[in-house]
Amino acid sequence: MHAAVAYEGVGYAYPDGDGQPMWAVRGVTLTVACGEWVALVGPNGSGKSTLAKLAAGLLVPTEGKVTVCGIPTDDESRIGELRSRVAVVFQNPDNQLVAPTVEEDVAFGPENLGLAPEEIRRRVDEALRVTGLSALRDAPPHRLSGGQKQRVAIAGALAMHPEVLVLDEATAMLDPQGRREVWATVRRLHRERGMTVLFITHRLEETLAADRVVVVADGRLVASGPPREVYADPGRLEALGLDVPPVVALRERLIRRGLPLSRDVVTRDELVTALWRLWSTA
Amino acid sequence: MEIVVDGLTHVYDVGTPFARPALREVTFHLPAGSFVGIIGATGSGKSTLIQHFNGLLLPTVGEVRVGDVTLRPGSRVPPTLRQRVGLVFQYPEHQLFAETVEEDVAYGPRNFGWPEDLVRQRVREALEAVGLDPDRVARRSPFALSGGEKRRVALAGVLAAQPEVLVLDEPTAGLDPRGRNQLVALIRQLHREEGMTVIWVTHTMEEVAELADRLLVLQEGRLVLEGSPAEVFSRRDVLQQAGVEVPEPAAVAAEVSRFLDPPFAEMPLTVEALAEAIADRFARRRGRR
Repeated sequence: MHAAVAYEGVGYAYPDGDGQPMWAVRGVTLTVACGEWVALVGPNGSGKSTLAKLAAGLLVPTEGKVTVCGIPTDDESRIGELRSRVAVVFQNPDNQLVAPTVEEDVAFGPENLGLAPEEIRRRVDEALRVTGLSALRDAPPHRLSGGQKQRVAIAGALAMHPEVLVLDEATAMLDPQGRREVWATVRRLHRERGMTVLFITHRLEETLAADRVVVVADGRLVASGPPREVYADPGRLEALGLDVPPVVALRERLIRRGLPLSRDVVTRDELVTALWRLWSTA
Repeated sequence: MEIVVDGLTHVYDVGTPFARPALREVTFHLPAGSFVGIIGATGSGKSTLIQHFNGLLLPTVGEVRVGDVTLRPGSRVPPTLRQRVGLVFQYPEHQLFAETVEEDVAYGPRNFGWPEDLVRQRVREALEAVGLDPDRVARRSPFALSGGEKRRVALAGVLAAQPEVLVLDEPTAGLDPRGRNQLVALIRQLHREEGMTVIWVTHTMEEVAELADRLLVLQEGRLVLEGSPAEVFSRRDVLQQAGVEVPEPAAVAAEVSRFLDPPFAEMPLTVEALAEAIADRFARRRGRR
């Protein structure tokens, strides 16, 4: 069984003006298992977007090797196979929409896979339904709001039935409701189809449901573990300039003020329950 | 500059089968020098509303008064309004186009026909105001800058016109916490020191909790809630209905306030304020026993 995404000693350098390599990431070794739900977090410029592009095969490593479902991303003869396995959605939907109508835009990827027309129709209908876009199928994408456009981009990715879905700040432009809808959709596909999800976010509260949180800073991995483990020591994340989830920040401030709270507490319900217990016995 | 919105309805594509009302009978009043947060879900009419403030859109029904300018259906928009009300769109860095930062920032002021010396001076001041060193960046291509810096350049382009009202549509979208904090500090300073009226459109209420003296909540083109942040945050039912996320500290505060004694008289809006308020209740309880 192949890993969904495997980075082995990966470095990626952008050439700067003087032809000197500028390393965006370096020495990254990370394996994302099939069916895993992994959150990638880090400050701007930490290299997390580069890691997302490497996983999607949009960049090939300067050193080391990236494989997706066993396919090396630098193997040009297998690029079609790679594209059918991994889909990526970026933050800004304006750069990702190509067709005159929503429906055609969502069909663009599946058409390129050479699927039968009825299969394409089925996938497009499903992707539009789960992203709540069925009523807008004939609309021109440029007439939609930012959040709606982003859902079109996500629908296009879902219609590919990818084994690996890479979301690079893909919900940043959505409002809370839109964000919830998209996450519910992605979560369902993750659960039902075992779709691997690798997502980048600044909103650390979105990472609480992840199997694993990977923290990147200055192009290197600095922490990796289940959310509860990573958020037990939020000081390190704050030092990197990351906003820890509000409940974790609150927990730390209450501990500092002398309340004996467990560092296991990461959700609102857990915090409220812990405070209620303390209050009843205080 | 004072803004009065009176019975504003805006319908897109009037007279076509695609006609859809984006704003419905919206009425409010923003005093000069205020800091206002406009909150609402996608499609609630936020972006439509703010485009009325500098005349990019005109009312279908009703009127909008910005300082001494009144905009009604079919009004002619005085060119100075665009200078007096600076609008910063979502992802403004996508609209950078010039070969150098200096030219990009100077674009607006040049279009107002200001003398070249004045334009240059304003460009320097605007770059300094957004925390960029003019000597370092003015001659560079805006595209060689980082995302956060590009956004500052775009903001400088609006500030160079020295607007009296600054309208920002989701100004922190996509910035990391550090970039966001810097931007918030910058806007706060412009508001406090220059007395600029600031209108901040967002769907993340946390970021305006500490800054805004007034919040407006839109739902499907209607103004459904208006008041101070504490007043607005305490109406969780209305916010939920409007598809607006209640800030996490306010949500925790509401739940713990049920058993804390005495309950919070005013809901703490930030993590810091909430921690202090909870610790205070525990200290009092221990003191009493």
